Amino acid sequence: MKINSRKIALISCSGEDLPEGTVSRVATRRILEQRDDTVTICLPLFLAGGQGERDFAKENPCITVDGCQKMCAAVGVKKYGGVTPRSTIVISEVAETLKCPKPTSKSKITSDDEKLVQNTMKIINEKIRTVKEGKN
Amino acid sequence: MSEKKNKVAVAVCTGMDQALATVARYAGYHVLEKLRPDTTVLLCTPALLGGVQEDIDFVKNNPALIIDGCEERCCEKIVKNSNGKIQGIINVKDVLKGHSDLQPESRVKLGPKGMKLAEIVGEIAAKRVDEILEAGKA
Repeated sequence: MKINSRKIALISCSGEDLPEGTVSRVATRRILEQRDDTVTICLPLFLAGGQGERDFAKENPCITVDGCQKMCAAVGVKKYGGVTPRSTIVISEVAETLKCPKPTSKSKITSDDEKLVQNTMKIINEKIRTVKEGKN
Repeated sequence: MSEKKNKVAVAVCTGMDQALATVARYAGYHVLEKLRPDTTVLLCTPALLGGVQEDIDFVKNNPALIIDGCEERCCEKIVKNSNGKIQGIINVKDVLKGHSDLQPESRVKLGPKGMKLAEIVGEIAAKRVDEILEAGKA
């Protein structure tokens, strides 16, 4: 079933353990700025019990963009909101698959990290397309 | 996160909704990387709620300082619900009231004023870290 009118909720890693979290946030923010068919959900508010965030996630398709294999965004929305993301992205896996250098700083995006950000954005856009076409 | 004794767990707002969340995050980096690198650790609140044992143990065994971004106080709630020992709370919104000329530009790009606000919050947090550790020695 194609999704026309609803927005796609992008939920990115909000953790501070690894620099990959920063990459996920930067990539997600840029997509949000570029597309008007996407919104973000505030993950901490969702996890802390924000009913508005949880209701939105139930009513609109979600794509999670996690930094690492812990997949806290994907795990969290399922555990605390009963929502299964339509698609998930894990930055550490993207970096490994595309042989991008591992990011090194939590607070800065270096020129090496920028390649990973750009690749992640391409993947996010592709995932949005498949979700909207009803393939996820 | 390896075991770290005599450190304060700094838990920052990690939201994506508002510019003040980004200020809180940069304040956390400022404390961790520049002001108090030897006495602070940044807590990963989603991992805490996701059940990562390392994070759960750390927050139970070390004092926590919260830097929240707004009145929702998500960080405070998450750490409290995880049985964390909260010893200090800073809210960026309150700090902004005393520095109303330092409005950040956007959630993506803070701009010079937003970064200055983040530094001020970081300095307040650093002092609070010192107080927490000093009180812990008593």
